[in-house]
Amino acid sequence: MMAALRMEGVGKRFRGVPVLQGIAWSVPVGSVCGLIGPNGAGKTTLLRLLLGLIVPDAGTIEVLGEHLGVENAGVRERVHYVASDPAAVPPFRVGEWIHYASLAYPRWDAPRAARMLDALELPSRRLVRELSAGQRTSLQIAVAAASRPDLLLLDEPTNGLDVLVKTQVLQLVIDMAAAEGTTLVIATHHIEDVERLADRLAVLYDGRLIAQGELDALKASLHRLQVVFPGDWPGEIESDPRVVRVERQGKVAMLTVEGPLEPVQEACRSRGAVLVEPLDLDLTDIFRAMVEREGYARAELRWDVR
Amino acid sequence: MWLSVDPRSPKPVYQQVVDGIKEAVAKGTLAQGDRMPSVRELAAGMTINHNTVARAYQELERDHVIEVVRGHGTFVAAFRPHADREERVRAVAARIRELLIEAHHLQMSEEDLLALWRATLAEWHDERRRAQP
Repeated sequence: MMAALRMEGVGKRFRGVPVLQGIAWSVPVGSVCGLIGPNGAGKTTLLRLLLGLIVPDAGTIEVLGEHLGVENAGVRERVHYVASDPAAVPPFRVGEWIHYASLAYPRWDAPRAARMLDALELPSRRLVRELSAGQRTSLQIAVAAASRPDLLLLDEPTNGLDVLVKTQVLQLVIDMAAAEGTTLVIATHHIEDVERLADRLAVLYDGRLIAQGELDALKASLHRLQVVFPGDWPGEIESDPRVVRVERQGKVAMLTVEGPLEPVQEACRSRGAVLVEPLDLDLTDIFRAMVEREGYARAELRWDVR
Repeated sequence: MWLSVDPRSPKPVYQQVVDGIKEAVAKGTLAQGDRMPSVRELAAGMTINHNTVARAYQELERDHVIEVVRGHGTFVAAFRPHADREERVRAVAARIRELLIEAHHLQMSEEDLLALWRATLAEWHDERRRAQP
């Protein structure tokens, strides 16, 4: 399958500090890839590299079959980036913004732009900077749809949107993907959006890609097992490489298991476990297990601790 | 909507779509010859991934639940016997055995189990009656 984007050994430093290291990532054409990671993991930098806005210090980047170099004009016309709530807004009206965008994109679809402004209730006389954050995101989505990109990069697209506008925006991007085969990359903290929209997932942690692949396969790669040992706690369970995390409370233990569940269930039973019960693990739990395995820890915050 | 999925569930979304459509056909919400929404319509309508819907449709087509008529759309298929019917019936029997084991450990008698079976069946017929226009 052709890749809409491919990175090999990509690294980027800002003022000597590594922000991304050894990134090898590919997303097939026509898929929707969720990009998740804790704050500061490097998600935005990764997306900006794909646009050719910044140049990597190491490695190669291929977008829509073309190697990114210094120019990248051809690729820019086919890749579109939507940031949540852009900081600097020129003193344009909505209509003027649309007009300038129509000049920048050769595949501009003017009737579609008009329909989108209508559906998203964006009056063309309004000043862009007077729009709410949600309306500004909607405007960017309208521009993205009308420019008919092959690759659409969405950076926190649903931040600051109320639930109705959010649903409308997500429906619109999935409709674009379904109708035109647009490849989508959605960087977000809203894991439930990823569970709905994505068929692939990439997990970024501390500048490294710690997991990527089909969403269903990644969801099936980790399980949770509740076990009860009436006797002594068998320490060897903890050193089992298939068990990536153990939380114990008295005789009850919660195991996070990587790979097939049956061998670990069997191992627990043979060591005297009286209850061995698989429990549901959603993507939020899986994400937490993945980053914790890499050493991520966050203390519980208490307001009354001195 | 007659179909709903829970993306939070560990069950893959495509499997939920397959199961949901099979249930709608079994209940009569969807009848033979009914036009199915297109992949695009269903994906946008439910805000779920279109490749996931396409995968579910492929599986349903392989299972003769729906059929694609080129240039016309996708429809609920006429009943067709499965080539692997015997194998599937054996799988049903294996599931009944699993239920027997579970019932034993819950100390349910055979009579309890049959009563539950009849009650569930009555509920199912009730749901079917309500589902059909």
